[in-house]
Amino acid sequence: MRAVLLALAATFVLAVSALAEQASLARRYAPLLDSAADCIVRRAWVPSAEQPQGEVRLIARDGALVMQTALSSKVLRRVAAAISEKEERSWPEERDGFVDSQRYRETLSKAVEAVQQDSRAHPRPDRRQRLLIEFVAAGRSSLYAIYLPELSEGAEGLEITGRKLLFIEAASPLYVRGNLVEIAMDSFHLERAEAEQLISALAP
Amino acid sequence: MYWLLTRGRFPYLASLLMVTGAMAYFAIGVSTERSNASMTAEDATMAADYAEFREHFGNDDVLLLAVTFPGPLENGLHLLAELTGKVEGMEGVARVMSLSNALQLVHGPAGAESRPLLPHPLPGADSGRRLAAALDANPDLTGLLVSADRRTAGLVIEIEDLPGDDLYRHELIGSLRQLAAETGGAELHLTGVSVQKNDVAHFVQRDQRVLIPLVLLAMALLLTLFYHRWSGVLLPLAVIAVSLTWTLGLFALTGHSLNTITSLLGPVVMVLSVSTSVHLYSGWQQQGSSLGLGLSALVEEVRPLFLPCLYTALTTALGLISLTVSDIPAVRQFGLFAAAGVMIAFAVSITLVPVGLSFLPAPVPPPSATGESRLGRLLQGTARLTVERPVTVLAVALALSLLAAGGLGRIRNNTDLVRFLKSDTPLHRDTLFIDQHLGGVNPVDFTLSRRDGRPLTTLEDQRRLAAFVAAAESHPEVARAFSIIPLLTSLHRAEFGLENLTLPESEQNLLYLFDLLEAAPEQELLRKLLSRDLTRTRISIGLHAVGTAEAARLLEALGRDAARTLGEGYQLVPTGGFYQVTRDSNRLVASLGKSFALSLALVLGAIGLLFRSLKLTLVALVPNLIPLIWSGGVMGYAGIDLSTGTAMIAAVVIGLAVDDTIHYLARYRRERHRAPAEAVHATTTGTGRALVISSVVLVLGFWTGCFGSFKPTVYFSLLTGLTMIGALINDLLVLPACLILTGRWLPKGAA
Repeated sequence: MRAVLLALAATFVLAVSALAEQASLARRYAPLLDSAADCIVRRAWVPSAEQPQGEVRLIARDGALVMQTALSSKVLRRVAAAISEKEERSWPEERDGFVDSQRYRETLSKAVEAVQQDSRAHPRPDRRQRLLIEFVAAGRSSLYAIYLPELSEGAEGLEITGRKLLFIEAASPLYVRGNLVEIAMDSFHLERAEAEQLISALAP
Repeated sequence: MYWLLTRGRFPYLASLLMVTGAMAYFAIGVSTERSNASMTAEDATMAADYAEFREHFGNDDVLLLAVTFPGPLENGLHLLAELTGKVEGMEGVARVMSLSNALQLVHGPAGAESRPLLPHPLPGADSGRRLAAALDANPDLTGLLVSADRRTAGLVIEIEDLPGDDLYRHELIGSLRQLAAETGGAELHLTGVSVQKNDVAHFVQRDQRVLIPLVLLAMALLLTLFYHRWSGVLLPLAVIAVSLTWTLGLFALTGHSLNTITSLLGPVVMVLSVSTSVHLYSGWQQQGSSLGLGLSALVEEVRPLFLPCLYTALTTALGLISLTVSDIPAVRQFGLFAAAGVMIAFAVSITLVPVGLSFLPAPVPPPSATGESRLGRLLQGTARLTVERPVTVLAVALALSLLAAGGLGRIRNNTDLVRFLKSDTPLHRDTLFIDQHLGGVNPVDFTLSRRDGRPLTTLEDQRRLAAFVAAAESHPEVARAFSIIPLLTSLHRAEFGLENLTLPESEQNLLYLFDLLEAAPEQELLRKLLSRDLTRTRISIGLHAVGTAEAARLLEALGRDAARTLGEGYQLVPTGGFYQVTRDSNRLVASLGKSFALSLALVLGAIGLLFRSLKLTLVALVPNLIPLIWSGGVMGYAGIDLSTGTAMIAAVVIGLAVDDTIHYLARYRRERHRAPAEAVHATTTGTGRALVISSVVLVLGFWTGCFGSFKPTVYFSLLTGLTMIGALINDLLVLPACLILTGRWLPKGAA
């Protein structure tokens, strides 16, 4: 009984700490999360325009370069699994950034679970589940944030009409910038050199 | 006529030569149909259903290539992979599916994952075990990609759809057959609708090359045998050649192509075109004339034969014209152009033969039918029999007819495209092999949809579909049925990590499976089974190599199954090439009845017009219906099916059989100033020789068709010949017997 109470107390403390840390990160990086003045540089349906599960946008944000992935899918769990698989391939153990990648994959998994819980609680007629992932490269301040968004389909692609922050994590600039390149290669169908040139030209 | 036989001879011959030369140019270039489109009835509803099916599910043109290895299958997997790669690289191939590149759904960390069915590299140390495990886990592949005994692998080859270009299919099939030489001991078998069409076109061309010279040779030999004079051979042969050239030339000029039915056009026209020239030549021989009086004698010989010959040609043509009421374009084309050929032959005979004869010295009369020749003695005996025992003759004919009528009821309406070819042909052998080992060589496709137009994504929809498929597979004629159900059950098992292949229990899980399918990269393959908007699904039922008789019964049974399992809320529309052939075969009897009735009416009308006597017309009916009953009986007792080829016999033969009757009656009317018995005797012995010669020529001419490649055309040739023999027997025995018994009722003819 005592052990159970201790475990419960420890879990409670950890959860509160985690929430507190998230809140702290959100406050600290608030300017980098502000999308009011976002300028979309490039966008593409993923995995293809014929069978879109979401959209990837390269965004110039005040003081930052953002790779934004907006997912709207009936099979979000499978899409997230595919993203994790690509992460694993791109960031093997021997590559610097592996630890960040590992943490990202765990965070992504939790975010998907949160979305599915929300979906069960508030089922939508189209059965689509939505997720928004942002990799923000701002020099030394690099992070990724995952949101529960409100999306609608506009003339040129998906439009974000609202968002609720689920998770925010600081990550090494090497990892975040590296992922910008990886995502640009995969989503915009670029060679590595082209993707690096694109990111280098726009990154602060 | 005098002008034609004097100053007009050379201008006539020159004109004939010029026109024939021009027609020959077109005749030589006559093409062979590769699509078999003219072999199926034009039906707007069926065409629309098939177009809708293709719109939703794409091209359904596939070839099946079976590979049987000398040893266990796992030892042949390398070769199978090699073959698959080779076939994939061939021109005209859209996709190939075999064990070597098949995928299976397995449970992965994130749910269902698509992985190769077979382990790589091939073969591994325990490849046999792994292969067996993979096949056990995916039972729907058995009967498609592997035989039940696991010794034969199947390659499903989807052909690209290039409308208007049939040559690439021919080349692809040739390339696939050549693979047999490169397989190091493995046996290859190839089948499919395109292979059927390709091989049929090949045999049509072969028959043209073989049968036409054969008929020509047969005609030449027979004419030599009967006339012993080069003029008796060359003149009819010239008529044959001109008639054939003009007919085929017209056929090609009007944009038609040869197929299994119209490939008979050449041989049939050749045989039919000889009749008038034989009568004219025989008449000229019998007259005998001296030089100087020859021209008048020639004209006098032709004049009385003109009307009978015209009417015999006309009745033959009318019999053929009756085929134009058929739903099947190929049968209509055959009827129309064969009729044209017959009338062309008449026009050429009635001019060319007298012109040809006008160059010749006076004929030596042939051995008289009243003289000592064998034929003469036979005809005399025949005449005597009919005069002395008319009742006996009629009684025997009636008894034989009653016996034959028993066989009529056994005739089965059945078209079996595979067994149309002889058993030693590659297509026949291969199709039956694949049917035995892999199954389902005759696909009947169905499009299933809800009547309310909603997507087929509810549990109710899928359960009903599964129930219908299970009911369909319970019929022995069905090898297997393909539908979306195996994919859904495999996906369900793989996504949720289950043991068994089952449909989901909840609507939510089923919807989720459809969501997964919607997001899957293999959309092209998925579209073969499910429309993009999920409102239509395809059920492909593979029948064993059965004919249309069994298929028609099965389709009715499937209709009852559908009513029971699917209910009123669903629409199940059958479509596809084999379904169309089955439907056409069913309609054959109705259209046969129409064409025969029309043929009979036209022919009797012509006789009535010629003789202007109802009683004579009715008497003429008897010796022409009896041979048809006899032949029908032979068909029934011999198990010869009624199919597209054999259904034409009655309409064709009624027009031919009546020819002898017309000649006999025409001669009888000229002899009618005598007592009936004497008139019959004179007619039988007088005109009998020409009737026998022309009938023998027709019979043996038709029988050369027995060397054809297609069983229906072999049966057509055989039975038409048998019917002509029956007609000759009836015209020499039954008709005279009828005339003897009804003699006092008939009007006396002009002397």
